[in-house]
Amino acid sequence: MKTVLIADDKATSRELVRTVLENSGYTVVEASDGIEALQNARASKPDLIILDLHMPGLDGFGVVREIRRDKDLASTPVMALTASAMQGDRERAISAGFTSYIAKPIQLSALRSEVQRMLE
Amino acid sequence: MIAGLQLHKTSQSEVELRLPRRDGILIDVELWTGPCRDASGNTLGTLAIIAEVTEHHAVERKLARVEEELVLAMTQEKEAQAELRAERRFRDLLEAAPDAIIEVDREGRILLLNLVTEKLFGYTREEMLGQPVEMLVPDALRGGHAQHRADYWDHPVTRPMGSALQLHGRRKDGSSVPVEISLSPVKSADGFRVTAVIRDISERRKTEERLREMQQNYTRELEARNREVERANQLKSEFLASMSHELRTPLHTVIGFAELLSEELEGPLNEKQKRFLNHIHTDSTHLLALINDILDISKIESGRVELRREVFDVAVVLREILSSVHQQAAAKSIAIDASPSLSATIFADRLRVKQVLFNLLSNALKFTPEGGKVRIDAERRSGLIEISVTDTGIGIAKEQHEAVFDKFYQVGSTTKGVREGTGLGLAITKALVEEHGGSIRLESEPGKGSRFTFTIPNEEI
Repeated sequence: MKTVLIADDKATSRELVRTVLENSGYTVVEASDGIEALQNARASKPDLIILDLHMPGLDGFGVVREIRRDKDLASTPVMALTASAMQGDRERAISAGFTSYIAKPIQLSALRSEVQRMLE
Repeated sequence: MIAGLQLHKTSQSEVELRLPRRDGILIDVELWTGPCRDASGNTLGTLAIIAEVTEHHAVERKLARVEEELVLAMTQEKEAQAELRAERRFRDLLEAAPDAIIEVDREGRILLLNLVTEKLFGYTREEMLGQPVEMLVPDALRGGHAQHRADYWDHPVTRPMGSALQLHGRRKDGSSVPVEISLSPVKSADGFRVTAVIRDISERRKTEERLREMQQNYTRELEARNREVERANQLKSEFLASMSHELRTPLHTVIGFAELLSEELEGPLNEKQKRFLNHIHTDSTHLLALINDILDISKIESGRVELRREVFDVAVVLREILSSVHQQAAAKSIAIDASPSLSATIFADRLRVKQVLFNLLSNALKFTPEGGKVRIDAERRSGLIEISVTDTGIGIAKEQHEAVFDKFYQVGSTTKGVREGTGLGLAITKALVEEHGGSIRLESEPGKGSRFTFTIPNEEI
């Protein structure tokens, strides 16, 4: 069974994504900020990490930077999840080390297929 | 010999003669002649009287000479007085002139000056007369002045000196005064001179300086205000972007959970629950569209729209849009007729072109009554693609044709079953078309439907 780490400071958003992913048969680990996301990632070695870009303390960009520097995690796919819809966000995320980018509000079908693609 | 004789004046005649005397000296005489008669009037003969008048004549000539001399002296006196008057008038004129006036000879020596010159330069008349005019030239330019003078002698015409230059005079105390100088050659009996009229323009310079300062202040103020406006605009855009982010975050879960529930994985729903969930989903999706519009207009207004151009087929984009509005059209039994012939590759921002087409098409559906028709035409013209969306809707009055592209413009009412929008759709559409270098136009009449036509510049690929 594949493990997915979800980091988002909004509990409702975590629960939504967790429910969708658990329904699809994945094991879900949660984190409510960037620091916790890094700790949990190192502890549970997930197959996929989904990061909200806007988090207090260490934001999504900071987390992905640390992940790419960590030899145990460097090759893990990381998906950006954000409610910001500014032009260039996607490019910024990809060039910062994210593997994939998805905008809030998510369409459930889009989330499912993107997660599946990342884990193939 | 002639006593007792009556000399009748009436018949006498008088002649002046110059006759030689026995000793040969010429004498002047007067000769009177006349008839000589006795008491009863009988003519006895002719009487002649000769009188010498030499002395008399001499006196007369002397008198005449004296008189001549007198007249001459008087004339000279009159002339002298006239000259004096002219001189005085000239002096008065010179001294009354508002400008400093000096006259300089070929060697550059000051020959003449007026009171204003003394006042302007701070020298007394005595200190200046006979001195080289260079004493009034600023130290830095003094060396070259003699050459300028020499040049002027070669072309002695009346002209301003150093036009377009800012000239200065040097005062006795070493200070400098801004001046304007005009030169004119004067030809006089004692040679060739140059008159320089020197005008003190310190006041004018001060006024100009004040004007310049005022203008600079004004410009600075204007720039500051512009920066303020720009900053306010920037803040507004940032605020909108941030608001948009903050609004999308809760919408994300509202839409997500509504969708999750409607999938019935958490348990079966009855029809009413399904309908209510559908309302939540539809309305929150609409809210999302409004937020996106507001974000778009804020991007457009802050000039932060960046086109991501790519090569794509217009026909493919058309098909995608038709499938996305299919349901909306079907709900009102509106037939969409899309010209199938066009298959043109263009180089543009695919998502933005799609957005433009979607806006026009959903507007057409919004304002067309049930059973109406909507047609899409696309045509390649020289250097551009022209796409039009025509409907059989309620139409737009001529006087509103401009206003429909304004922000927050809303037509009075839509037709049945259509939700009001933000009033930003056409403003965004127009901005996006123009961002591509294209244009958009409207042809419409109330009750006769509308046609929106836009162009996207496109070189043959």
